[in-house]
Amino acid sequence: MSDASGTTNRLAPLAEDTVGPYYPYSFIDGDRSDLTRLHHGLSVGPQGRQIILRGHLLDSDGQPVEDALVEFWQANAAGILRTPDSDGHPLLDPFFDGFGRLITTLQPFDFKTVKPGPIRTDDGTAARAPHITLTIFSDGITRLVTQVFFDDEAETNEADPLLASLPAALRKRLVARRIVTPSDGPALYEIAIVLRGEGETPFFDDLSS
Amino acid sequence: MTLNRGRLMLPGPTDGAAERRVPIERLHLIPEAARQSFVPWLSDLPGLKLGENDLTRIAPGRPQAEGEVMEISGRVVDEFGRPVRHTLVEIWNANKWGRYTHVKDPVRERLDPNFLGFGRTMTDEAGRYRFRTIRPGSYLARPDIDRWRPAHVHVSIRGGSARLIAQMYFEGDPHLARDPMFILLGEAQARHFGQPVGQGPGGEALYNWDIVIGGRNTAYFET
Repeated sequence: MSDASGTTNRLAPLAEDTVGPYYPYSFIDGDRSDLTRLHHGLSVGPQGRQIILRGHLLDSDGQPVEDALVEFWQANAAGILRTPDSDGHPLLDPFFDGFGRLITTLQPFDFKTVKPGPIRTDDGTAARAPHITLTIFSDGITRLVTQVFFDDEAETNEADPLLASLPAALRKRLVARRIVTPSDGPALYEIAIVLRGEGETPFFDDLSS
Repeated sequence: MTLNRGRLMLPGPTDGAAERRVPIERLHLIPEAARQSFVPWLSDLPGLKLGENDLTRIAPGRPQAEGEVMEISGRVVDEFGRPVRHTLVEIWNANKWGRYTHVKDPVRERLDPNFLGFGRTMTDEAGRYRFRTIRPGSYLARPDIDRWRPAHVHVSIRGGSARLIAQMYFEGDPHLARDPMFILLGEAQARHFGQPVGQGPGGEALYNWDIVIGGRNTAYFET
């Protein structure tokens, strides 16, 4: 086998395919739509500001997409992603691994989590604005991937390399709007994820880029 | 060539959901500085119970489901042939008559009280996995245009930074030729056939299916 870049001896991968309409509900283990939930019997939990990301997953008719599998991935409140590269990092949160998962209904989804911090470079500058990575599977599509930002982070958003890579008109489609900020509960952010058509969300190619 | 554009996703012919859900625009390429956070890392996988990789019974000791028993096994590897170890492999398939136990399946075929149609397992040190299931039936997915789905087994892989959803098909199935999902596989079609490799001691049909996960995510973190 050889590919366009001249790399040889690689195995040919399987093709990604649709998850179809019948991904078993019982494969959703525990409640990963709420990453702020306390572990059983403990009175301590993840650090940071609790938020709800409310997402409207819509098709080209503006109709909600039901039974989609949505997976979330984010840094903790200190801006650390839990990966093999951050193993042993002092700012890892023992009560937060950053991976969420849910199946959509006809209602908008609510993903409860803590607000991710900006991811910093070694010299402390913000390399990435706070964001959550979304992976979407549903009947009719293969895997779609995008990232969601926050409208109260204008300064870091301005410098974010992913937002900067998009035409200006598309950037705001990835920015969730804060619509409620109660003094004693999670702040509520809202975003529309439009799979196709008018207002279509920009999706990213993590296979070939 | 247009700058900063990735793949164009294609809706399958006459698939209603795809026509409303597949993006019109090409995917955008990820700038290198933003790459790392696109690679989720799953460390906390569910603990499995005994017999979860045997779909032919609802639980160990319960009656066997109707239909032909088959065993599917193989290895999960990356493009460099390295085993994907201790990763969760989930499968789900329709019963003998082509019906899913899923509450949303509108097909009117029979349910089998001894068949749930989903199971999971974890790959071992060599990336090996093994399932027993019932050979799935074909089903009429689109009565309006008389289009059937060929027999298939769904698989989902997750764990570490591996993530793949794919389907295994059976060579020679007469419904393959009109199935948009199979047609869209293009040159990859042959890799999605389970390879018949004989019969087991109980007369069950044995299939080998190696799962190669591609893309940059799988190999992003060296561990």
